Amino acid sequence: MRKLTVMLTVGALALSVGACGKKNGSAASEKELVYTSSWGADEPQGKLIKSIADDFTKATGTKVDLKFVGRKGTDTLPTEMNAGQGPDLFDTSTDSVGAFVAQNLAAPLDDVLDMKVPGEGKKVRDVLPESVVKASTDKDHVRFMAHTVISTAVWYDASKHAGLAPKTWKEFIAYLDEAKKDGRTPLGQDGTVNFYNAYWFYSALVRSEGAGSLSALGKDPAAWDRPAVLAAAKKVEELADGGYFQKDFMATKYPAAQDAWAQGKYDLNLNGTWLAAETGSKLAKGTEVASFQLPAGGKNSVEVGTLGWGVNAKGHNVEAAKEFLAFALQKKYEAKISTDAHNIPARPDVPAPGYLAGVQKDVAEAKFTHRTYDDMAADKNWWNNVFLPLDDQLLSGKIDAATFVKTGKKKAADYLASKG
Amino acid sequence: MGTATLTPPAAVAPPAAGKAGKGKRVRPARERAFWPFLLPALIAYSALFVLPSLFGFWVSFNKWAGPGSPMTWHGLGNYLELARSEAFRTSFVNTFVLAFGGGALVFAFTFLSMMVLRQVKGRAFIRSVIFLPMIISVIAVGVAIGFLLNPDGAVNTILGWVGIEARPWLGPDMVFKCIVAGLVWSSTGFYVALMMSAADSIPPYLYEDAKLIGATKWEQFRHITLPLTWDVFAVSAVLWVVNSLKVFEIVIAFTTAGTPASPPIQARTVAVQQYASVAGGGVPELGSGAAMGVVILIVTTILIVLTRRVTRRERVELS
Repeated sequence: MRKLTVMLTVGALALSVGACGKKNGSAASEKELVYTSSWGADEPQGKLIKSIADDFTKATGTKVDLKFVGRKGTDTLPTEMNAGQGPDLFDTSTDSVGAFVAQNLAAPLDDVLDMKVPGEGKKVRDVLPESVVKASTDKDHVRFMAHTVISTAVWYDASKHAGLAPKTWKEFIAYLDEAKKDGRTPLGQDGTVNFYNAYWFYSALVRSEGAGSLSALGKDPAAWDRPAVLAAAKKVEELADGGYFQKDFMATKYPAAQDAWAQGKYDLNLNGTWLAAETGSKLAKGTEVASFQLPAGGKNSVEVGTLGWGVNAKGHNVEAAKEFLAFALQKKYEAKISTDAHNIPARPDVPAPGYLAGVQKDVAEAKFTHRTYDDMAADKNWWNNVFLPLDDQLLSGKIDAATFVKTGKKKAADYLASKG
Repeated sequence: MGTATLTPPAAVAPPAAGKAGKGKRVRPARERAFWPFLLPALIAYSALFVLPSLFGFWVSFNKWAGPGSPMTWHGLGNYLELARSEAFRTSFVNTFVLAFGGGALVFAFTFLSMMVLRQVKGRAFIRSVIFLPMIISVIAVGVAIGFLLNPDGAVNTILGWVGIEARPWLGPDMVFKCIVAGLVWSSTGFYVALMMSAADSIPPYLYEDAKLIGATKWEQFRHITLPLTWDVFAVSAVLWVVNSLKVFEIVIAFTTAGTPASPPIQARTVAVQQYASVAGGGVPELGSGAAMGVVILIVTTILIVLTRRVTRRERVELS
């Protein structure tokens, strides 16, 4: 989802890169790693990756052929990788690794956990917490090594609302009411982005019920009968009916609402950890970005998604690529994720930038964690064609919570029946 | 005369017969050249178009997450799923609304321009202005749309000045109408340019004659312009059908541009639906996407045949 940070407009798609990636088939590639990155060379992550690659070459003698192709440049990557022409290393994330796994391109990386991080005398499994490894693992194997943690939270300006942290849903609604009474718009929402709209129901349900509670809705119609589903839907209904969002929020085109939030027009925005970086220059002077977790009660599960490096199972240098991963997880590099890229480092012993410290703490203290969208987005047809449109109706106030649950159950049954 | 005309061939015949050996050599040479000349194109076309199309057809009967993953036979399953999917059905209807509703508007504007623009001063300039939207990048259009049509965008602000209530232009219920308008805005110029170039070649004296006998602008259009540009119109209509059935970028520009989100169901076309099934996060559903491609290919073929049939006329030529 952090791919939002780029304007990957579809015009660019139409003209999409037909160019093939760096060929990796030559005989000289024995001691050369090929890494095709979806970061830009000028992005902080790109610069960091370049410095890691240079250091890696110095330390091991293995050359790294590094290519920055940007977000859309990697569209053809799976095809190249399958043809045996792809890179050894590629960038991936919790919500995008599924396609690589389905195409048998993501090498299992379980053994990397037992490799030593150079110069630190610790194994990879000692520096990465379980929740981070879990976010980079599918049902069978560890699929990539995380360098960055991403999560979701409610964002606000601490210079105006210092220490805002409603502990219960009631307190949250009370705050919204108070803001409304004072003539402010409590919530900004880019309603044309359906997966941002889904944050509300998803967070309300999964934060309370924990991992698996949302994805079950697309796999079993009976899952809709659980009282927690109706309760979460009721929370969203309450938001829709309460008039807490800006006027005509469903017609607000991204990134207008988050930009207006950055300008201080709205109090709160439920969004990913990339929000402050994405709104960057638009943040009003003096804004102190801070966050709290949407209070939903129950398990208080916290979302942990990761961005990281995958290894091409069909690459020519799988072992050297694994060595690179352990090398790249050194503390000095992870520090740059925080200081330069302004993200939460995958290693909890490296402090996140100030405004992300709250989320880093939430993640570290969480007894329960879940993955981005509870993995529901993996089933594209269900997610795009059934769930998101239905959720849009709930958030926009077109249907109430009871109708949402009733319709959802029926649609899940129909969907599963049509899939056969 | 008849014999005279017949005689020369007869007279020529003996020499021809005399050169029969040479003639035979010429003909096989030409025949020998047939395949070497045709083959490169045939191979390229087969390899780059025919074979991938057939492969796509094959994929549509399978479940497939892309190269490297196992392809499992699904029979007509993908097609049945499409038939049962509300999202696909809506996108299918929307595509037709764009093709026919949008087409009616585009050609109505085109014909109107042909009537009005034929003699107006500065018509070349006006034509360029109408053509301009065609060449503006969709990325720019997408950004501009946010500024213009957002709830607190320019359009609502201006409407506010004259006391009209702000409308949620880009909301799920209105955005498709805006997309149709946007499509008409961006494509009309192309068809105006095409049709006007045909209209320009009509000799002015025909219109002068018509004026002398008191024909109105409409009558001039109906009896002179339209019949003499009909061939170009027939081609334009086919072009429109082909283009409108794959409308994609403009939907994205009006809805989710800049994000991997899927547009609201109310605004999706088949091409958008197809894109959503294979791109973005999650496991690609290539079988489903291929099935949509096959459906739209069949529909396109049928519509082209129908359009050709409807626009078939006796060719009118100036003597």
